[in-house]
Formats: sequence, structure tokens, C-alpha cells
Amino acid sequence: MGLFDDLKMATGLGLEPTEAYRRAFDKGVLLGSSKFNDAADMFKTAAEKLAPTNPQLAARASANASLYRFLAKREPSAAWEAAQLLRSIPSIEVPGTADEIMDGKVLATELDARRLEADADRAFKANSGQAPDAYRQAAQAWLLMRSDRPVTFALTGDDQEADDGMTRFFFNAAQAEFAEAVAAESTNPDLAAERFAMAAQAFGRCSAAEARNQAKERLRACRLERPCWFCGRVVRGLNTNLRRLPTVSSDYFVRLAKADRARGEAFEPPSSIFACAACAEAIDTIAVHRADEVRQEVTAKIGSLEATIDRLESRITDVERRAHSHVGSA
Amino acid sequence: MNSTSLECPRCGGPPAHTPVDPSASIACPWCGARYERIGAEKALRELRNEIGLWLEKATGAAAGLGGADAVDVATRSFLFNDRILPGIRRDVRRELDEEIGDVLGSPILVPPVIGSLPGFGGEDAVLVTQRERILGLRALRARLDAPEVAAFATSAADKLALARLAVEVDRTMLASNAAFALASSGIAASAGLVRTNLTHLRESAAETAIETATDPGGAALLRAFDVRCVAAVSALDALMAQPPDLAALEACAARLEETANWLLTSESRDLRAALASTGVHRDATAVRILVAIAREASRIGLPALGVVEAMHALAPWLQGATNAEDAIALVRQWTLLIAANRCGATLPVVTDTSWGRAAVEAARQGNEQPGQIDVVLAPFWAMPARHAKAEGFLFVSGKQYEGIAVVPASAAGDATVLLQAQEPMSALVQQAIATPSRPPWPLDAPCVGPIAARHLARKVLRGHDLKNVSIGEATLVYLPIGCVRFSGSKGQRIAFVGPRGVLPYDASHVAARTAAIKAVADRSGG
Repeated sequence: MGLFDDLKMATGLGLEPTEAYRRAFDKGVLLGSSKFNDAADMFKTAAEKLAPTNPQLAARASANASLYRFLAKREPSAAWEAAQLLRSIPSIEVPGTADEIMDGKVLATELDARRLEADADRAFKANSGQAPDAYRQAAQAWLLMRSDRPVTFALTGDDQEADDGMTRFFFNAAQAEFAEAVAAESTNPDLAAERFAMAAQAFGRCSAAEARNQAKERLRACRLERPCWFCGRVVRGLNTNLRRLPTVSSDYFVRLAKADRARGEAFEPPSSIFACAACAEAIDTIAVHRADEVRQEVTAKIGSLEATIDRLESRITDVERRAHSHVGSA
Repeated sequence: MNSTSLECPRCGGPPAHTPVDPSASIACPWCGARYERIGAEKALRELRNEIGLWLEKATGAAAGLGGADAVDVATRSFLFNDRILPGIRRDVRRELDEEIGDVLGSPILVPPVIGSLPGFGGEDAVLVTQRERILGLRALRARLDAPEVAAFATSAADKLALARLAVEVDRTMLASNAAFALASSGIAASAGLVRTNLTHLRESAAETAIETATDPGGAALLRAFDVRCVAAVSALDALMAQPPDLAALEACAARLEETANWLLTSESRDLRAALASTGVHRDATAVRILVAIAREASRIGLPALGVVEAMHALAPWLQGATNAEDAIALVRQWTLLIAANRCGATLPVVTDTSWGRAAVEAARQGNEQPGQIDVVLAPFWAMPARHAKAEGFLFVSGKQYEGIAVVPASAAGDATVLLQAQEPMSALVQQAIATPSRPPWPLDAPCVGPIAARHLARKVLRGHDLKNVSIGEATLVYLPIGCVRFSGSKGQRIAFVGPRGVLPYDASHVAARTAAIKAVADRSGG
């Protein structure tokens, strides 16, 4: 390859359609994930050039453009486009390589599942009630390739729970349970606890240790049942229906709590009490109201003090002015 | 399993025969424990008191006032559906799903050789590892059978609800009896107990029919459990037959796999069914491991059960397997090693040691002199590796390369080597795989599985700033490595020198593995 060819490859100018296709690999795909967006642009250009003369390669270029756009930007629409295009072509380069070939339909299945995952993630982040079903749909999509290894996760370094389709199935099924549990946490702690337990088990199946621990922690919080320090009602669900409030640290209260088994559980040594959300919220409201009153009183006092300071300042200025004129005339 | 009769104070199962002498020892046919009648009677009284207290708390005054007879049917029904059943249900769920853990995914078939591998120990095998907690279900199980509780269940639906919960608890307790016995006593010693528990489990589950129309997930779980019980008993029978019935073993594995897939495809929207499919799949894996050992053992004329039980000594090495596929690959390789040790079977071995001198020179440090060199054949996983690399300065381009990644299969640590396609060692490795030969030196045994090796290779190669690394399927190959005694002013040290310098081997581990494989080969002969 001469200098002129190098220049053409570097700039992309004056390339033949197939060279433009090759350039997307050499200057994009094979340089790693940070260049995948550039690769997508180059594949798009190549597709336009190839369309009149080589429609089959143009279709492959379009599919690659959408594929690498998705891998670079995680846009579900790009994954959808790529999957549609991949279904119409028999084979495509294995993502990340330039000449290894795989079945286009297999990659389409993977991208469909990833699109559904991305949709579900968005629904969950938006607190949508659709999230559990969206995750379940994604889980089902991964079942279609349950013993196959996904090929796209490794390219972007997020392949911790992506050994095979089964692993992804359990990861998404766990997310569905988790989302359902979160939604039920405040209204039905028992149901939420059951869902968190299922989520923890499913996360365990895909070695998602951190997510599993989180589910277990939420499960323990859901199951926690304590009497309220204030009203005495037994309430279930820490951080939703039940709150832990800081209070004095005192041996006296520790003894008191031990003496009264029923209500003593409202005290958590060394210095916390449990309050039901109703009492805690009422206390918060009273506290906020009182704080507003105090703030108003203080603001009024500050206003009056500021006026006094203004008056004093003007008198000092006046005294200073007079002193100057007296010194001048002397 | 009825709390009204005398029962084992450990597992709650009824005795086969109740002796007249209160101090006579009774062997529990369910869990294998030994106990005396007098102790069992005391434990039963305590249990019934506990049930009484629980019921009083759940129903308020109703139970205290003279039990269910003191209140009318409508009140009993209300108390049952509002207090008793939700309370019991919550306790069952808490115990099974939250405290004990992954009951549905836990394998039943956990013979000692398999117990060390991932998926068959710790939190994955709660039927074995949470044994004490499961035995603690006895009180909860007794509540489900207690006449005082049953008196509040006025309708057929109420009674069925209790029966279903009882089946669920039984499933855990009886399956745990079987799995624990198998894991702790081995196949031959526990086969009878496994049969007793699993057969009873099938019968009691059949009595509590769950309709597919009303509870498809529950019905699927029952059906799958039935298959597991039948397959577990059949697999042990097939393994213990003389000669082992390989066809029957394979049929068991196939039936289990089929059931696991069926649970996934037909009932996967019910997460319980999907989780249970893992339990079925793990049992299938266990049978596949037994088939792998039995087949190789039969091929070299060794008793399959003898090899399986003798391989128990190697089980700790399975901890290097990150999943069941790795474990299957490892036990298969061990059986081949046993064959090589016993009757000189061929293996993929590189016998060229021309790399040795340069490697030893390179490994020499300071004033040390290499002394005696013993050659050992160490296992390595060889896998085709592709990667891309940025090249050029002004005109940067990505280029794709091919080679063979070679990962030590018997050493922890990072010693992955990437052999480029044009290197002579690359050709030697490929030739060894294509044409196995008789190993001329002692053999070390693999303890790292192919999938773990692939993960390691990918991680190491990515760390070398290679892009788009893609690793193919792994094949085991034995490479000669030198166990070199270096001597110098500071004394002697032993180092293992491989194709690219010093390898992270521990001499005592290599010696122990080499000796253990030989010992197992000798013991397997019966």
C-alpha cells in the first residue's frame, strides 16, 4: 500500500465502494470500542456507495452501521434497525472482527434481546409500572439463544453476566422480580419480600453478586416488623412503612426495652427508635411547620436588626463627615 | 410423616417399627439417625406444646378457649383464612425461599466426587449445605399435620391448601434426606435411603393433585420433581449394576435435560419453574458426569462405581472448575489420565523439548546454576485466539491476528501465553492434538476447566492492549515442563520452567497431583 492509498484510507476520499467498506473495519471496528461510532458512520457511507453496484454488501454495511451505532450509543432504535436488517442477510462479520462470519439471524436474535433489555432498563429508571413485564419480555427473548454465548457484550467490556443466553435470562427475570418488589414495597411488604427473595435467587443464578446482595438487603428491610415507638402499632417494612430515627443513647432505655418485650422492640440499642411512617411523617410535618415559624420569627428579628445597623451606619457617616469639616476649618 | 404418631426427633419421619422397649435404639429409615423411643416421645410432647402456643397466638382466645370446637364453623373458617393460613404460608415462604435459600435449584444427586464443583456446593446445594436448617422445618411441618390446626380448615379448599404446603415442605425435607446421605456416605452406602425418601415423596405428591389449569407453575414443578425422583433412583441403580448400564444412565440424563428444557420453554414466565429447571439441569449434569466416568472406566475395564467412589480423593480439585461444564471436562480428563497410568492410553502430548535449554537459561537468575532437571507433562488448555491491534503512526489502522492462547490447566495465576500462528510451538501443539501419543514422562493432572481458562485468557490478552479479543473452544494438551533445581550461594530452589520462562507452579502440588492420579488409578482397579 503506497502513500496515496494510505492517504485515501485516512481521509476516506476517493475510495472504491468495497474499500470504503474495508475502511470501516481498519479505521473503526479493529481499533476498539471507542471507535465504534466512527465505524458506524463509515459503514453508513460505505452502504451509500455500495447501493448502486453491490446491494448485498450494501445491506451488510447498513446492518453493521446500525449494529456499531447501538454498541456505541446503546440506542434501542439502532438495535431494532440492525435486527431488522440482519434478518434479510444470510451472514455477517462477527462483531469485533473483520473476516470471521456468523449467521445474520443469530445476531438479530441477540440484538432483539438487547433492545428489549434497554427498553426495560429505561422503563425501570422512569419508575414505570411496565418495567417488570418489559424485563420478563427481555428474559424470554434470551431463552431463544439459551446455550449460545452472546457476542456483543464482550466488545464493550460489560460481559459480567453474559456467559450465555441462560445467564441473561436469569438476570432479566431477576430484574423483573426486583422491579415488582420495589413497586409493592410500601403497599404489600409480604409480596415485596417474596419477590425480593425470588430476585435474589435468580441473581444468584447469573453470579450477579452485588445485585443479589442488594435484593437480600431489601428483603430483610421488607420483613422487618417492629412496633412504633409513638403509637405502638406493629408495622412491617423498613424505609417504607417503618423508619429508624436517631435518639438518645441510654442504658436506662436499654433496660426498659428488655423489660417490655412487646413494645421494647421499638427501641434499637444503642440510640435508635422505630417509628411507623404515619407517626414519622406527622412528626416531620410538625417539625417543618415549627421550623417555618421559627424561621419567620428570626427573619423578622434579622430585618429589625438590619434596620438598626443601617441607622447606626448612617449616624457614623454623619459624625465622620462633621468631624472632617471641623478639622478642615481649624 | 404424621406428627400424631411417634417420629424421629431429628427429621420428623415415622419409624419402620416401634420397639416395645423404650430405651431400644431405633434407626430412622428416612434420615439414617439413631434414637430411642423415650427421647422421641419427649420431643413429640414438646412439639405439640409448641403448636398449641402458636395456634393460641394466631387465633387469639379461640384456641385457648377449648380449640376449634369452642367456635362455630363460620368463625373457624374466618380464623383459618385470615390468620392461620396466611401465617403458615408466610412462615413456609420465609423458611424455604429466604432462610434456606435456593431449594428449587439445589441438586439432589450430589455424590462426593461431584460435591466440590460449582453448582453443587454452598448456596447452590442448600439441600445438603443447609441441612440443620432443613431439619428445623420439622416443627413447621408438624403444624401442617396437627389435628388442632386441621380443625379450623373447614372446607375442602382449606384442607387442600394445607396439603399443598405440606408437599412443598416434604419436598425439601425428603429430598434433603436423600441428597445429604448421598453427599456424606457415598453412592453404595446411601442408595437404600435415597430410594425410600424419593419414592415416598413421589407418592405423597401424587395424592395432592395440582390442576394445570388453575396453577400451571405448581403443576409443572410437581411433574418435574417426579421426573427427578425417578431419574435419581434409576441412575444410581444403573451405576451400581454389573456392568454399569450406560444406556440407562444416558436415558436418565436425557430425560432430565428434556424436563429442564420443558420447564423453561413451557413455564418460563413463572420464575419458580425457571429456577426449578436449574435443579433439574444440575441433576442431569451429575448424571452426565457419572456417565462420563462410567464410560471411560468401562472402556479400560475398570468398575465404574469403584472409579466414581475412588475419584472422591480428587474432588477438591474440582474447586478450580467455575461451572458444571468445566467439571465434566475435568473428570473426563482425569479418567483418561487414569487410563494412561494404568494401561498406557494415548494423550495429546508434545514430546519436543528443544525449547528447554533457552528457557532454563532465561530462568537462571544471578549466580544460580541449574542442576537436576526432571521433565513433567503439564496440562494446558490450548485455544485459537484472534485479536486486533492498532498499527502505524501517522496512518493508524487496525490489523487482525491469529494465534493459539495456551493457559496452564494445573496452576493458578497468570501464565497465559499467546503463540503466534507462525511460531514452531504453535505447530507442535496442533500436531499433538491431531495425533495423540503415549506419554513418556509423569503426568500432572488438570484442575482448571476450559471455560475458566478461556475467561482467564481473555482477561490476560485484553490486559495486553489487544482489541476485539475472540477466543475459540479449548482443547487439553500436555506440554513438557522442566522441574529445575537451581543451586547458588543462597542454597537451592526448585522452579518449573515452561515454554516462556518460569511457571507459577508449586512443586508439592504437582507431586501431590501426580501421585494422587496414580493412587486413584491403582484403587479403581478394585
